Amino acid sequence: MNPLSTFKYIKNNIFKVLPILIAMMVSVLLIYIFSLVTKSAIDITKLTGTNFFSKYTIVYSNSEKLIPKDYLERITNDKNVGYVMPLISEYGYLNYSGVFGNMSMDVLNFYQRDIAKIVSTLNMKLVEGRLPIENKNEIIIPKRYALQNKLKIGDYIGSEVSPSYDINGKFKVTGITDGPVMLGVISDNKGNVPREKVLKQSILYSVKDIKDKSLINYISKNTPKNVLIMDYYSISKQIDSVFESVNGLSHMLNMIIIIVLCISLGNLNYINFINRKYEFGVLLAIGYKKSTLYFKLWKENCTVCLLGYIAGILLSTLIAFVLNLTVLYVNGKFIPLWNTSGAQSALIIPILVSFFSLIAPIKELRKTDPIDVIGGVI
Amino acid sequence: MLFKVENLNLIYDIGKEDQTYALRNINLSLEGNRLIGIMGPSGSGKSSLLYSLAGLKIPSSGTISYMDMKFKELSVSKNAKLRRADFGFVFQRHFLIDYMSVIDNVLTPINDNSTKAKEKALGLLGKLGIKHLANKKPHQLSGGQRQKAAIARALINDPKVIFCDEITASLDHSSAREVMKLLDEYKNNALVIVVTHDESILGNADDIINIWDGVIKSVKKSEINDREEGI
Amino acid sequence: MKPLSALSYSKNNKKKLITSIISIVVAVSFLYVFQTFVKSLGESIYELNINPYKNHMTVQSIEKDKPIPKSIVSIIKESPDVDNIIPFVSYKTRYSIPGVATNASILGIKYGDIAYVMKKHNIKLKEGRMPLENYREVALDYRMAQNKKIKLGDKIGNSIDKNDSLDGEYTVVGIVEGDSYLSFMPYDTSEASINSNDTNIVNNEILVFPKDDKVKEVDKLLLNLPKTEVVVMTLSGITKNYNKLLSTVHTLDMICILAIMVMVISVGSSKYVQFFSRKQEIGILNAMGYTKAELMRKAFWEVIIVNMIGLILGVIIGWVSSILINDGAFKAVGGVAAYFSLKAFLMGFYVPLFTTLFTLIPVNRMISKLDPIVMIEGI
Repeated sequence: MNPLSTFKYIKNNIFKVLPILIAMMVSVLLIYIFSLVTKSAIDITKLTGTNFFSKYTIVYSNSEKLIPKDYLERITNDKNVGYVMPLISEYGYLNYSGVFGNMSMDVLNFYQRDIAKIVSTLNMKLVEGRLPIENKNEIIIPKRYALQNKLKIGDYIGSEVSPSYDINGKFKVTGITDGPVMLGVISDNKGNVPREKVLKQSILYSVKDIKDKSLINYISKNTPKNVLIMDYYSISKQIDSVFESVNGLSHMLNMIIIIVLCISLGNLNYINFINRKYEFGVLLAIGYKKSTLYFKLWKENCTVCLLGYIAGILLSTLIAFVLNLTVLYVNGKFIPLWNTSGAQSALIIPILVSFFSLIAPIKELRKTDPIDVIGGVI
Repeated sequence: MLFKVENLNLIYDIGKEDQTYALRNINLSLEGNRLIGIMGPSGSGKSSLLYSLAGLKIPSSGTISYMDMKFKELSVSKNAKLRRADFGFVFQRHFLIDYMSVIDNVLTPINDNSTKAKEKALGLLGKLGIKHLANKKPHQLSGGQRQKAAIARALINDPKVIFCDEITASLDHSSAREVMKLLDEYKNNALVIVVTHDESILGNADDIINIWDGVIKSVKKSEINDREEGI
Repeated sequence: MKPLSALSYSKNNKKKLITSIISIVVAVSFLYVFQTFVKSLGESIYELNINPYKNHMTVQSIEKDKPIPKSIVSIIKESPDVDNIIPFVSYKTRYSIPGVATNASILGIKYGDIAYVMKKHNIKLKEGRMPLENYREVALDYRMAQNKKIKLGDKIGNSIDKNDSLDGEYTVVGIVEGDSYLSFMPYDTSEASINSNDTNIVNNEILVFPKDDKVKEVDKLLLNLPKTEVVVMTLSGITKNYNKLLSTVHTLDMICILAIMVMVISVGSSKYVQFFSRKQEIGILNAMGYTKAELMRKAFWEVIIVNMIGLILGVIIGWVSSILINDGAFKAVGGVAAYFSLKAFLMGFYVPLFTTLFTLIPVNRMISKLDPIVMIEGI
């Protein structure tokens, strides 16, 4: 290592750079952990919402009127539609709480013969038990929900059991699923509504290619008043609007941390520089240009900040890992271990702080006259 | 007896192979209001003796008493209070506090900003010829002016003992003469102990202790010494 | 001012003081605003969900198409603690505030019963009129109207706004004002007219109004009804449900605590380093005769001044900011804006408190280990 290299400086001044490194590390930890927590909320909305709609779109009438025939035909004959299935009803909701926020998980009511296909196309693996039988008041639930509510095969859920279940009646858990979609499924047709009738009132159709928006654009423009569509894009938009305020909060947090760090690390850097004034005075006297020394200062500061950043990211990941293993998984919750956009926004902190916290030392270096140093005035 | 030193030893790296005697078997008694010089080359132990007498250095063995109080029997905080009440210090480096004005620096030992105290401080600065710099900050003064401010600081609490460590090292000849002239006036009011390697500034000293390699080699008394006090 | 006083130090080091104070002010005000924001969110959801149940409770038949069993209706009607039962149809409409998309209740009430229900809930008609029977009309709570940004004559429903949970479309004919976030629609059913005195035909859902001071008793009565027949929602039930939503608040509290730690570490370490760079000054003062306790006292007052000023300014700025932010984010959309909360003040207070400790503990160590001789001899 060159004598004036950054790493040599850090190696020989560990105690001086440690406060800066630690301050940077905990700041990055805060921002990054917050981003992981936010991502877990976004992941939950995907699990309970958008992932379902990336495979299926629901179309239903909100009144006694049926879905117009030509409208239905347009859907059935579209090249982007795989198959169409009747949806008896959206029976209710089950509340699933994540680390950050709660989501309502749909409980959908299908004809028994359709359930296997739905479950397999949604990649919902049946990890325990079996699918529900029609009119037997049976339900399948996702594994995370079961863990959170300490439910197992044979337990009962519903408003009869506790008012916290937003589904009327009492249902026996016959199966537990795991996969990218969290959904409750029942098969209840005690009213004996014929399949053909339901197919004209409330359907879901499988989407072959989610990026092909031609059908969705058509049916959104020409929707009769009583028909409602729940598709991937409208659900995503709804969810995004909820997350706007969370994003706003994380930007504000970022900004506050940057301000606090710029001031306090600026202070630290200034004091560290004053203590090194001899060093820089002598280097100037020897013949190093001021611009070289500005760059040296910045490289040292930037390296310490980046090391703090890396330590912060690693520590956050470790904390998330430990939390998941010890507290979260057993309660059906989780925090993701990595969030690219979170890591990117946390990177802004060391970059900005490494510049702004150097303003005072650079100003001081500009004023430094080597003669004052070597002449013993300083 | 103001100071009594008995069998004083100051050893660095005790127990190790290369232990060094900064002071070796010093026996000394000092009393009265006078100017005492401690002379010796660099590394001879003169500053060590000075600061041992001030209670700032703890001897490895032996005792130092000030007004019959043994330093080793005093607690750290009593020691400090004694220094503040009875001693004044002028160090080799001025050690003025940069963010305080000269007058505030002078008032530091008594921490008093009453009119009376300020007048006293200004009086001292006037005697040293730097009254006009009272409101300046240390970095606005020359080296000599800073040292004079430090001297004023040492005198503000009317000390009984004034300890001076190479105070003229950073001064030019005429400033050095001015400073020694002032201290000479003060010897009527206090015991002034000056450590130096420059014999020329000790012209008016009542006694000169010569120290070499941690041992007192000789004590030269002033020819005009009709007082009973001394070493 | 005495030369060694904390005020004198502050006067002579204005720049350092201001930068230290700014960090504390920023930290305190941010935490204050954050906490009041979370409180506003919590209170908005609380009022929306809980307030209706302060004056009524609901009983619903477990099966949508079947009426509530006559026996159960009799039990409720005959209870001495019940003032009245009113049949109703429950509707929901979307209500969004920052961070939450939820639903508010619309009661489908017979025209003849509306006055009673409004009286019990202390609701007044602010503008327009109440909806007429068999018309697709609604009288919206004024805060719901604010939330949806609509006025008299506009329409609501998922035929207008796809995200709404209210099926169809309804014209807003009236704006009502009360504490309970309740809106009104006609009792929209094709069955024969319902008379609550006639036990032969009862509806699928009823509102139960307890007599004054009999809320607890009616709560207990309804909770004891057979869960195989009916679904009830009482004040205690809804409060329990609300408390489950607090996991978000707990997570935000954790984030707050982390933020406090970050700020304490960065501000505290920079203040400690400031003291560290004054080691020489402190050493010389010790050499002159100031005891370590006196020096520690000096350090204490210097740190306290910065933190106290930072706290006071931070709380003031936080309070003003929370008024601006929460009014805009919540009050303007029909929610509840909180400007003051003890928790907000406490969280803000933790920053100067822990910064003081974080600074003074290492400074105390530094002073106690100080050897003035080391300063003098320039080691």
